[in-house]
Amino acid sequence: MPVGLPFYLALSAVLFVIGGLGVLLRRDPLVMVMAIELMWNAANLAFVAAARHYGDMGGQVFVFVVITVAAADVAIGLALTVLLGRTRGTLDADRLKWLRG
Amino acid sequence: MITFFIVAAAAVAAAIGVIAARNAVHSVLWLVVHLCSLAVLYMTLHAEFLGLVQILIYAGAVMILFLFVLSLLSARSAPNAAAWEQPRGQTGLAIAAAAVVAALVLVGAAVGNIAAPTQGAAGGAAAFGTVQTFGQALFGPYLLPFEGTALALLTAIVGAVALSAGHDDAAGRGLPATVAAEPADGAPIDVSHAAPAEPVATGGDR
Repeated sequence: MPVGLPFYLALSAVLFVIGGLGVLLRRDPLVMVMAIELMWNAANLAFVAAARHYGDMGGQVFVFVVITVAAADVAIGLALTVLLGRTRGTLDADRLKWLRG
Repeated sequence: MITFFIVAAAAVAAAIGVIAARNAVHSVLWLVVHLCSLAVLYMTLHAEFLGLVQILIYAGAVMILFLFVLSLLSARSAPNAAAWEQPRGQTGLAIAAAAVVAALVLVGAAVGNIAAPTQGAAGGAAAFGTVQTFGQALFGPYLLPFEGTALALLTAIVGAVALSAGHDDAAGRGLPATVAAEPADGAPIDVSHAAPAEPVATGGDR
């Protein structure tokens, strides 16, 4: 018996929430970027499961797009993190509030 | 069925490991486990190409990038990293918000009206998910999003180069000016803000 779409959606939701918790609770920007990766991947899982459920390749294509965008996101995020670590001397996300309006 | 629950448990455990690990290197390794288990799920969902891309790009290239940055940063800020990682009272609120979101989506997945699969979709369609059909979809009806990813990657490259190559210039003039302008609008500034001015001056030597 194949596992139905609701199981994959539930797993995707749980993983997404874990990633969101990581963004909210951790203060290391590096770990926050990793938690954002968890959220990307949760969305990807929902895409792939839906593509399988409906027999539509569009879902898989968009997972490919999302993986590419996530790689770009990681490149920018890590460049910013390195820059912050160099110029500010701290990686505490609570201290990095000089962009606040 | 059995595979799904085993791999799902591994994925959830690894995800918790990512956000719970004190050491960022452990977080990266947990993330690799998480991505590989998701790749297994992709394979069971007839997305073999995506499973391989997941392992090659994500668990390979992107995680290497993480480890590089980690080794670049940890030389400066590792010793006192744990001190500011203690929770500051936002834990309960965050968990409550996460529980609400999870409950909403789980209820939606349980009682939601998920349309039945179209004819011959879930059962057969032997060609579904092969690299051939994937490529035909990617370069056929979804050519525009594919070109968009090229643009996104170009933007990321330019951005990353601008951020890291313009560093010396920014450290010399731009960022300290911003920091110095901060108290002008009356915002309270603690002493620790002034401390990073020291690494700025020495940031240029390589």
